[in-house]
Amino acid sequence: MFSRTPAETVHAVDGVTFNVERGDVFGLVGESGSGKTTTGRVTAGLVTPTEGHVTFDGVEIFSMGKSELRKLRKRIQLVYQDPLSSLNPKMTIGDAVSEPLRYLSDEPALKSRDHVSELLERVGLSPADSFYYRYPHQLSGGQRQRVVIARALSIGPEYLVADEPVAMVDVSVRAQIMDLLLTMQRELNLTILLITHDLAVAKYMCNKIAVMYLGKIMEYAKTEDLFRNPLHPYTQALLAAVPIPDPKKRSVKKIPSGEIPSALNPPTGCVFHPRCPRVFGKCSIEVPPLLEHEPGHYVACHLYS
Amino acid sequence: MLDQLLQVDSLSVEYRTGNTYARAVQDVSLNLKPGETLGVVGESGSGKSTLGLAVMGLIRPPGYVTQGKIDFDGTNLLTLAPEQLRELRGRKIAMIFQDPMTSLNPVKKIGDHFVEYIHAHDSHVSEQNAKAKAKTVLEDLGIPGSRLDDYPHQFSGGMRQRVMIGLALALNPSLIIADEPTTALDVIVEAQILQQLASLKSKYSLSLILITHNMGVVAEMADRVAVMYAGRLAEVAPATSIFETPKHPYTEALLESIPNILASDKVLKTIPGSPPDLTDPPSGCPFHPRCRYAFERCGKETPMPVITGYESEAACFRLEEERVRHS
Repeated sequence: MFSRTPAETVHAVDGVTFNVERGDVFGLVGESGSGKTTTGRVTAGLVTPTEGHVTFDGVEIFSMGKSELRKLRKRIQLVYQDPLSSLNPKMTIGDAVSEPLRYLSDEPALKSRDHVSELLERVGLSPADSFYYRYPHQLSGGQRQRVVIARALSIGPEYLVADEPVAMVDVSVRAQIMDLLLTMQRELNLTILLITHDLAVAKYMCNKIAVMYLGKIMEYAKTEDLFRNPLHPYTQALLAAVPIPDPKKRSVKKIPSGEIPSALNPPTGCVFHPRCPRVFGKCSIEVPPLLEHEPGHYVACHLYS
Repeated sequence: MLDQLLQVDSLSVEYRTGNTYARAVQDVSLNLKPGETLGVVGESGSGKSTLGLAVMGLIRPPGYVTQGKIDFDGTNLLTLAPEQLRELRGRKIAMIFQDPMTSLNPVKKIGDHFVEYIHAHDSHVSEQNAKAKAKTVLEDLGIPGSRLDDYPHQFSGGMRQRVMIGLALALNPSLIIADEPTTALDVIVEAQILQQLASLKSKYSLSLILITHNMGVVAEMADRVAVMYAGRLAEVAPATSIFETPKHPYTEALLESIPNILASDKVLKTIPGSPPDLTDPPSGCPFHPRCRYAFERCGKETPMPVITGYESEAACFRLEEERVRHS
C-alpha cells in the first residue's frame, strides 16, 4: 500500500560557522525549521555532521575515541524545553539529580547525598530535604525545570546547551528560571548556548546572538550591536514582528509575506530571497557569504558584500 | 442597539473529578461593547480558556457552570436549550482555537470544511453558494480561492490558522473568541495573522475576545484588557492603563517580569513562587502568597473588584484601604 520513495535529504543546518567563547551566553535565535536545535545538538556531540568540524576546548569532537567522548559528556550537558518529558516520572527528585553522577562520575564523594542537597538548594529547591523524595508530578512546572537544571549541573559541566528552557514555563515564573540560569552561569563559570525563538529572552540573557534561517546563520553579533543596528533584512523583519508589551508603541508593521519554506527544497542563492523586501538580481543566484561588516558583527547578505 | 454586546455576571465554573473539584472560573464579571477587542490575559490555569468556552456554551461534564449569567445581545445564554445554543454558535459567536491541525479534518478538502460548516447551520444553502462564500472569506485572508480543493496537509501552519479564521467568519458572527490563535505560530506569521485579524475585525464589524498568555499580543491588539489569576478576575482596564498604571499587584509584577526588546537594559523582577493548584487554592486573595504588598487581611478574605477609574476595576484590598484613607 505504501510505496517506498527514495529518501530525500534535508540539510537541516548548512555551512554554519560560529565561535562560542568561554563564559559566553550565546544565543541561537530562529523560527521553527531554522536549524537552531540541530546546531545545538551538533555542538554537544549528539548529532554527527555530514561535513565540517566542531572543536571543543581545542579538540575536534567527532574524531574522539570512546573514552575521550565519555570524558566529554561530563563537560557538556543539556536542558530541554519540556521538563516533564525530560524527567522519569517514577524517579524521585534526588535520584534524578544524582543520575548523571552514577553514570559519569569516578569520584564516590560526589555521589553523596550532601552534594545533591546542595545542588537542590542552589537551584532554589529549598529546603532540599523536602524535595529529595518527591516525584516530578508533585512539583510545579517551574520547580521541574529547576530539577532539570540541577541534574545538568550535577556533574560539573563547563558547557550547557539550553534548548528553549523557558518556553513551557508559566509566564510569571519565566524570569525566575532565566535569572537562575544566569546566576549559575556566573557562579559556576559556565558557557551557555541558549536556543530560543523568543528575541526578548535572547536579548535579556545573551551577550552574543546568531540569527538562523533555514539552516544558515544570517547574522551574528554582540547582543547590543544586533538590536541597535540589525543589518540583515531577515533580522529586521524578525525584530519588527515581535509584539511589544506597550500599547503606546503600537504601529503598522512592515512584515514580509509568506512563511519559512521547506528545508527539503530550499530556495537557490540566499535562502531568504523569496521573502526579502530588498531582494535584487544576485540574491537568487549566489549564496551570500557570512562576512564581518563591522568588528565582531557578521552578516550574510549581498547588500553588504 | 444595546450598549453592551456581552455581559458576564458573577460566572463560576467548576471541574469535578472524583472527590476533588477545581474552581476554574470564580465569580467573574465582564462586559464587551460592540466592536470592541477585549484581551483576556492569564497563565495556564488562570481560567481564561474556560471563560471563553463558557461564553460559547461549551462547558461539558466534568465541567459545570455553578453560578452566574452570560447575557449576549439581550439573551441569557445559560438558560437556552441546546438546540437554541447550537443555532447561536457559529452564527452569532464563533471560536478560534490554538492548534488548527487538530481542528481540521485531514481527509477533507478545505472547501468541504466550509460546506459542512455552513450546512450545519443552514441546510438550504447550496454547495455552490457555500463555496462562493468560502472563496470570498479566504481571499480576504490572502488565500487564493483555487486552494479550496487542497487538503489541510498542503497548507502551512499559518495558512491553516487562516482557514480557521475563515471558517469562524463564514456565517458572519458578531463576536469571535480567539483562544491563543497565534501561540503555535512563528513570530513573523503571528504578526501577519494579528494584522489580518485587526483589519477583518473592522471589515466584518466584529467584536473580539482575544485570549492569550502573551502581554505583547494584548498590547498590540486590545482596547481593554482583563487580567485573570487562579480563576478570578484580578483587574480590567483600558489597555493603556493596564500597561502604564497597573492597579493589581499581579499585573504590576507580571509586567516587571517580562523582557521587552525595546526597553534597554531592563532589569527583570522575578515573582516568587508559582501559580496555585486550583484544586487546593490559597485562602483569601489567590495571589497573596506571591504578593509583595500582602497584609493580614489578604490571606483571610477574598477581595471584590473596586472601581479604579474609567472602565477600570481591580480586586485588591490595598486599593480598598487606599480609598478609605482618602475619603
